[in-house]
Amino acid sequence: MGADHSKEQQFLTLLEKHKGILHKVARMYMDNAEDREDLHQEIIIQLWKSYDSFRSGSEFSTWMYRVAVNTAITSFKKEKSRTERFSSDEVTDVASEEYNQEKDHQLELFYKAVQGLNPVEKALIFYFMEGLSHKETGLNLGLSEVNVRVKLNRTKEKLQSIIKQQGYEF
Amino acid sequence: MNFDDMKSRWDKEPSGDVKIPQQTALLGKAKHPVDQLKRNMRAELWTQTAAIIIMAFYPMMFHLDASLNNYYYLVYALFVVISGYYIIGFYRFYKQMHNYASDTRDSLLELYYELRLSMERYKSFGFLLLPFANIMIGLKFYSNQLQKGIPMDSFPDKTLYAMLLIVIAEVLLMMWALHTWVNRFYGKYARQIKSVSDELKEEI
Repeated sequence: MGADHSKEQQFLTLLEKHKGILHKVARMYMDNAEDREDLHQEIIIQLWKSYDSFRSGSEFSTWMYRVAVNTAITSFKKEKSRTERFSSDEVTDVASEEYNQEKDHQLELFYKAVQGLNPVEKALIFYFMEGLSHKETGLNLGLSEVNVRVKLNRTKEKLQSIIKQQGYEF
Repeated sequence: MNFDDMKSRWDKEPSGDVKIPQQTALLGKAKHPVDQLKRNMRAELWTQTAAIIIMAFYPMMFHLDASLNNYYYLVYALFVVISGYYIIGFYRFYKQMHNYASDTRDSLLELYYELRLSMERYKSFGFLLLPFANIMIGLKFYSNQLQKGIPMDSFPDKTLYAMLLIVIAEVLLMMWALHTWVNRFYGKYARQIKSVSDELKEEI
């Protein structure tokens, strides 16, 4: 009982420390607040259920990346089709959306543009933004280093093109 | 705007919208498609088990002629063995924990093949039950004839052919319904998983 409680507390402490991963994965994969909240909850549940697979000697963040991205990639619930979700009207309306001054406007535009990527492209961009090397990204996704480089370059070009379509320089 | 600039903004982004619960017991029920499928499966397992138990009373419920009881329970024993095999298979899938901590490609492929296996298991289970269902209905029909004192060989050929056609039509209809039902509940998700895993194919 005591060991279980200690394990749970250790898990929650680590989660609190790395909750930025939850926030960013949800921003990448869900385009509205309600779905993002659901995804936070879902990822926490899967992390807790998989916690026994985490080896204390390894990095919690590395393990958490995998569980979070794998959960997000396989959560198709409420996800509309990409064309429906990413209409050109929506793109041009980004700048006129109600804007929270505390939020970084450019980051908001970036997240909007990311919604035009497929789930694997989102994962590639996420790992790139988190500063993972091609090798580390490859290990997380199950791809070779060379393939990560090729796919990532292509994805970055696609993302730049989407942002340009929104009328911004990138 | 460029990626370096974006990365520094990304690193500084606050994550205040994430609420970490005080206890894991406060976490709600998982809504992930795999968990929902497993919950549906658990409900079906209970229904199937209840159906098997109820089928044991079929001769009493439908007043089967006593001379046919032994034949019925011989068929029923086979039905129980086959159903048990499949139900244990479904139960194992239900209890199995999906590994989200492996690399994405392995995780997706494992999930995809588990789903495909379950879909095929459902279909073959349904197809295997069809002959049993027909035999049970046939026994009831035969029982009625026996109780009325009408021998089976007194049926005109036309009636027998009509019965055969009805059975074939019923089997085909049930096969179509089963195929449609399985694809409706599992097919869409399996296709989505396959489509994402295809994106991870090596290109060089």
